[in-house]
Amino acid sequence: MSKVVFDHVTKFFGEAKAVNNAHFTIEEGEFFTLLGPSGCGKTTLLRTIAGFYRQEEGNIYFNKKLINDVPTHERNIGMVFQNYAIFPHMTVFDNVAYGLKARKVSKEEIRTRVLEALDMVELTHLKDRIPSNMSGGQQQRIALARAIVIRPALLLMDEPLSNLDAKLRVKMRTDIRKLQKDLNITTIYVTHDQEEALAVSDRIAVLHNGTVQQIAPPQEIYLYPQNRFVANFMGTSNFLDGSCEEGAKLNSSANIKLMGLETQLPLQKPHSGKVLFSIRPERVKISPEPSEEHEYKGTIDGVTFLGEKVSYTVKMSSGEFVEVHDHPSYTRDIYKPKQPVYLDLQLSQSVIYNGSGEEVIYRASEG
Amino acid sequence: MQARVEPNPGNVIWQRLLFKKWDFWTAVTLVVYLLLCVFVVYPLVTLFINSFISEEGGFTIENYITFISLKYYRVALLNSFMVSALATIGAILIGVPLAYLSTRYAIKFKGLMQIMIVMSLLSPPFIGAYSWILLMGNNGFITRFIRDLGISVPSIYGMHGIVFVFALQFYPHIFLYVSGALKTIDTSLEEASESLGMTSWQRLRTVTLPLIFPTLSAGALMVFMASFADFGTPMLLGQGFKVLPILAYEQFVSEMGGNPAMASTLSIILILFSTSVLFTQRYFVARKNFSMTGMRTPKLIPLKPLAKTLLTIVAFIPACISILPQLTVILTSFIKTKGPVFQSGFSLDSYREVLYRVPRSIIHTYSYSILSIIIMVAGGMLISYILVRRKSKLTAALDGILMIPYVMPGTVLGISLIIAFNKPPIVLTGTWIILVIAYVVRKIPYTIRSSTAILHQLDRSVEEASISLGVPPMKTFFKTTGRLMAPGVISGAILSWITTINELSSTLVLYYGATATISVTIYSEVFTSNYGTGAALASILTLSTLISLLIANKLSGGKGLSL
Repeated sequence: MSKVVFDHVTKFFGEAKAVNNAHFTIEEGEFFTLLGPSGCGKTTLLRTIAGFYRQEEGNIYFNKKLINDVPTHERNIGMVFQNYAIFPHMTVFDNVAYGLKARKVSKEEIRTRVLEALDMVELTHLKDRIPSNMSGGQQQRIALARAIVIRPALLLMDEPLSNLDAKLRVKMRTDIRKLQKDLNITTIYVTHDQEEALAVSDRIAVLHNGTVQQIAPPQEIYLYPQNRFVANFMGTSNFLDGSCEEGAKLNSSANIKLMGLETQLPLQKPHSGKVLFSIRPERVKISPEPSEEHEYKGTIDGVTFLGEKVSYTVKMSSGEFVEVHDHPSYTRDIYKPKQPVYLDLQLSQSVIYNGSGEEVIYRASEG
Repeated sequence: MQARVEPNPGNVIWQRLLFKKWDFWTAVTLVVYLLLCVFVVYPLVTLFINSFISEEGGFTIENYITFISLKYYRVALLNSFMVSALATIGAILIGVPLAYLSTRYAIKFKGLMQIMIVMSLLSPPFIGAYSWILLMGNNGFITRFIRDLGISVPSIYGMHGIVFVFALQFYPHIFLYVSGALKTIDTSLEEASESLGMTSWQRLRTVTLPLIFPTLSAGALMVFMASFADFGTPMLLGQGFKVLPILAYEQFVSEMGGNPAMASTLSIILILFSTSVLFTQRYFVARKNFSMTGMRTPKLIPLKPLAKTLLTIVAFIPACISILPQLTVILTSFIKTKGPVFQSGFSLDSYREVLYRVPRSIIHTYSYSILSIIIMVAGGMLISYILVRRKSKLTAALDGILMIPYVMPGTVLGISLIIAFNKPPIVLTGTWIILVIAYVVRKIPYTIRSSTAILHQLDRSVEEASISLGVPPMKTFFKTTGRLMAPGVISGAILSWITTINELSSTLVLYYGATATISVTIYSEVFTSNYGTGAALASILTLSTLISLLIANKLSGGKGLSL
């Protein structure tokens, strides 16, 4: 098992910084996910850990060992690729045994360990087959067995599930998570799928344009995104412009204006001027009648029925659009377009940023 | 961990240079560069310099002035251009409809047709010309037959004959390229066109043909270049009609009044001309590189029995005509001869004569070719690997150097090698080594091309998986990618092999009495009217070609050769 330390790591592609000053530590036995849209640098960072790329600046350590100049094949890593990268000219057994042969493990031990690994991924019955015509799920299990059988210090996974269909993806990610916990193996997982990241990770690093935006456990990252980018990338959010009166003080209630109404919230950072609200659609409550809470008036502009929820686009009387997620009910009809509705935005549960969306000035306190 | 050098741009560049991994592939790149510089760039540069050297040894542009001012040369260039352009048009007119017919309709005996077409492409060029003389010369078999019917026909000699032979020999380029494109075209595009109200003819004109245009133009380029560079056919059929490669050859070998500097000048002009044709083609397809997913490839249109038979016959007409020369040659090789005179009846005399008089040429052809093909396979695999997987500014230049053999006609390549290697530091003229060098330089592009194609299909993550599992890069190549590349490498190598055993134009310039191969022996036999032995030797080559093709077909699982 290894912990991985990034010490101000920067990787250039030409003039562009594909990874910009990564500086953090992945703990032993941790399931750590690099998450971000395509081109954010997550795969580059993973391949730098693997040694396929060499960073131009900074150092990478496995535990205390500096590995900058250790070639890939001496890093003792297991890697799982997006497109499986199964050796098409070898049987399932030989695929899994490949890394052990390179390590000069005895024949009997290879046999025991390969069978053990195949058992873990439930593929023992296919061990003598050629993998070319197997399903994506089976191929990815072979790849997984091949990576863990060498007992790597580090397991690297590059979008391993993105070529599988939706149902299988959910099953595989549960299996991967269980295997990782059973083997207690430090795992670095790359994905662009935020739901997958939330489901498997101990901690998630969200990347954008090569820069780490936030590193936190799944729940924290979803509830308290550190900036507008993270809030937007993790799930959906309504971003609404508001303003904060001059001279609001720390931890005392400040008057904040949003869509013509005023509300009092205790800011965690002194601020004045423009602010940006991030409000999750599922936090917003919707009602046909106005009330003390349901104070924001609007009309239904669009309705999308999604089974587990109904998504409404509400046009507010002040002109903004707000997305609202509601649970369909047997007792109450779905709202129709043009119908007037009243929203409770639950502003105390929102996250408020400064005007540019770069800094949190208010979030609900934990608990 | 705390101490860090603050980056500045200069520093970063230095760091990147230092961190550049110097591994097995760096060494391969350097060795490849070295060899290409010595055997491709150096001869070309020497040729170029030589074209500016006067008889006294000083600098002069007189040769170029002579070229421009003498009608003799200008006409030859024009002739070359006309012949090649007309042959290309002819090849397109035969190749495109044939490709469409055979990829879209369920006609019979496609495998046989494919083999016949490829065979006619891969025969040594002048054998076609020679057979057409036997068939349609002044006293040819067909000429006499038609004349007996009371119709007067022009003989095969002259420009129209050369165009005719070229078109029939090189249309397979068009056929193979276009068939490939038509097979992988995405039918949903054609269906979309028809669903928008286009008739099938409009659809063909507005969707199908534009989509295959880049491929068609690549095939047309091959035809043009092959016709432009060819030497044997115009030599046999020209009778006073001169093309540029012939003039270059004559200037070079002629014992009386030969002028190596003028030969160099003509060679440079040939290279410049074919390079500009190449770039013209590139320019026109530059923004037309349509990538086809080929998810839904076209289905064959089933035919009723009568239509099927008729279309099969139509499709076989060009294939049969173009294979006719080879059949003639094989037949001729079994005719009884007495010296150069054919007699009635069949015998193995010609073969006996071959074994008695010129057995060495057979040994030479096969030993030089085997040696060349070993170098080509090893070199082709490694070069294609660094081209595809080690992309950098350094390898981009390599791609450029590898284009040189494309634009150098065989005669020109031969001349450049002689000029470069007949004086120290390296003297190779008159050895077999120079022939092997010429073969490798000229034919390795086939192997590189097919190796590159298969490498593009192989996922590089397979190799990364192997490295991540603890196998070092070089060993990884031989355990994974090297093995997976084999089918592609072999199909290209067989093409290199076939064209090597048949190679005439560069051999003719470079050979020496003691290093004569089958192809030059056929050439000299034909010129000394020993048609029987010439035909027997040609049949040996044809048989070797056929066997190699069948092996290629078998190895590629019946998918045929990809040229």
